[in-house]
Amino acid sequence: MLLLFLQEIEDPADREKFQRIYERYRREMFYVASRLLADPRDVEDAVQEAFFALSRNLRKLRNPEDRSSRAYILLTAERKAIDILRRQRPELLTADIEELAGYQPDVLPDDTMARLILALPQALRTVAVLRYALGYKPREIARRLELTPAEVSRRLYRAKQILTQKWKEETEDADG
Amino acid sequence: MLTDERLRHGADLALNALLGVVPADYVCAPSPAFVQDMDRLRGQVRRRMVLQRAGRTAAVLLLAVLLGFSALLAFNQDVRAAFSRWTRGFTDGWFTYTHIEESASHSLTAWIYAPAWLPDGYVETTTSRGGAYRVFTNEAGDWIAFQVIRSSESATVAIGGDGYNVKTEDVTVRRMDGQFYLDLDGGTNDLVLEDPADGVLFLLSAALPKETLLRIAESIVAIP
Repeated sequence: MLLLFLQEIEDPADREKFQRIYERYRREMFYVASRLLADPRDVEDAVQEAFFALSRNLRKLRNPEDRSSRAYILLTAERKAIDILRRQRPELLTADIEELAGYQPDVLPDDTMARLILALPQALRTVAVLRYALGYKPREIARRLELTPAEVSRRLYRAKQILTQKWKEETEDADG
Repeated sequence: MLTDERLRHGADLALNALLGVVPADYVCAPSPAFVQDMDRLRGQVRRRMVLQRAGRTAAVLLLAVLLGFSALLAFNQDVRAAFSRWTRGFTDGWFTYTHIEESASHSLTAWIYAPAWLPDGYVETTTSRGGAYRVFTNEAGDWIAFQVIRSSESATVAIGGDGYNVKTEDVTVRRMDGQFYLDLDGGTNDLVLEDPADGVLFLLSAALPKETLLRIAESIVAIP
């Protein structure tokens, strides 16, 4: 469930913080959304929805310039772009939706595990990155992504299952 | 064997790659409509919007003075309805509530609203300035969100969106009509009620059953 309140931000401090986020990340958010959506209008919709979502979570972004906030902001833009893709394809089943890929960086890291994580479907990759790179607890991830803690746990479990399997294949190939 | 340490290291590198994506030559050129919407959210055109609203309200009040305000309302039932209605719609998977007219027929009180009853264990953890938005949480991390949208705020409220598998039901609580939205996937349920007396919309959201949300709504009190 998602509630969207199209109204102005009340608190002046929050408004100032939002202003900083808007100026600092607008370009990056557009780029992330444009990697997933072809129509520029859809890109704008995704970024706008991301800003609305961020406006409801400003208190959680203590320092908008730090790495954790930056990751959360860009992953929010990615998530909203995926949401639009899902709305455009109502024929997709829940299982298919979960397989939709996120955006890929142009330059992939050398590290095998990093590549495997980047190859995860977006729904799983986001929770994996928040959990393992930024150390968020499942309950905190649930709050930020507006999911139930049980759903976050399920996605983490599934991500780890896939990574374990792929890691085994990769390391066996390397050994053999 | 895949260790947590290996996983953390890989995730860290993956995140670095995700954060370094934007090429130097990428040009971001949002449309004027996008910039306008964002300006609104950023509060930069707040003064202009308020003045526009004040202008329309002044025109309505002038007409009321000429005709006699009660005569104006009695003259056309549609006019009366237009003053106080939140219109409910459904667009692209979203249930929307939009107040499209000025609420000149109301005193538009500055009352603060709050629920007087909550399930055991919930305490208020977030309150917006003016009390328009309150969040109550318990030790388990469950939350109840309570929002008051005033008809004077030209706000649109949207519920739903992607993958929202919901069953709606009309409800009435203390002469307030509204809808209960049951999330069939077991997530957060929503209750929306319109208070015609003061032209406000109440929103309650929580992973709680209908009966509990209705009981919370029944306990909403106005604090003058």
